[in-house]
Amino acid sequence: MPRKGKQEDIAETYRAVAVEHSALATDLHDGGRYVMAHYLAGLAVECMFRAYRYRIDPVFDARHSLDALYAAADFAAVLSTAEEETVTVALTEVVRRWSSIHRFRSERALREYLRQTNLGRTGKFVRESSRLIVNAAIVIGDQGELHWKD
Amino acid sequence: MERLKKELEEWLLQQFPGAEVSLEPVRRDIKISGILAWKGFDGQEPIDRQLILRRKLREHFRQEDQRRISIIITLSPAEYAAHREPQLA
Repeated sequence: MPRKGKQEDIAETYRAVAVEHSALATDLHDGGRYVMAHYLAGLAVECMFRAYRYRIDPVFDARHSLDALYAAADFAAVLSTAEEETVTVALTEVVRRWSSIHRFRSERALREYLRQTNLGRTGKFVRESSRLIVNAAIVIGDQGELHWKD
Repeated sequence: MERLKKELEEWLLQQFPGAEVSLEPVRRDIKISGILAWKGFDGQEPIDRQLILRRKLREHFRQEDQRRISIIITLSPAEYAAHREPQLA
């Protein structure tokens, strides 16, 4: 069935992009590029959820809401209870630090965003936030990779 | 499912006074996921928030119902407000 094959190809592309974005987010963090590290970390999670969702439904879902995409992707179906608890903590970390609007933010604007959401006030909190969101995205991405062939 | 969703929503509002709760079915109506935004989560790490929530869930709900409660994202009111900002396409 050509359509089914194409659907799987596109889902696979989303998965590959998620892996690439996750690695790039790590590189950006290590290089001190914290705004784009934030943005790509969240985007990596979005792509992984889109990969799972596309296998169920190829109609594009324009939402960038990660919790809504998690539900639409039926990601919970592949996770054990313990894995689900791990993903819950990681996804909370990503959701509270990420916005698709980050791609339009300067480092100063991101700093203000984090301040307004009480996620940092003093010290190198932008760097710490970047470390936390990148690590959380890796946790979710690893679960996505682990169960991709399930 | 509708019974559990209603019970969970009412219980969360009772346990976390002043909270905002948004629940939706996942896994083709087998499980429930959602967001719990509460001022008491401000300044707390996600792991600590989940420990509080999961302990309370274990104390109140039967194991069968606990297994049907999937991810509940725990946010502070400020985080929830930012999360609900319009996201550009």
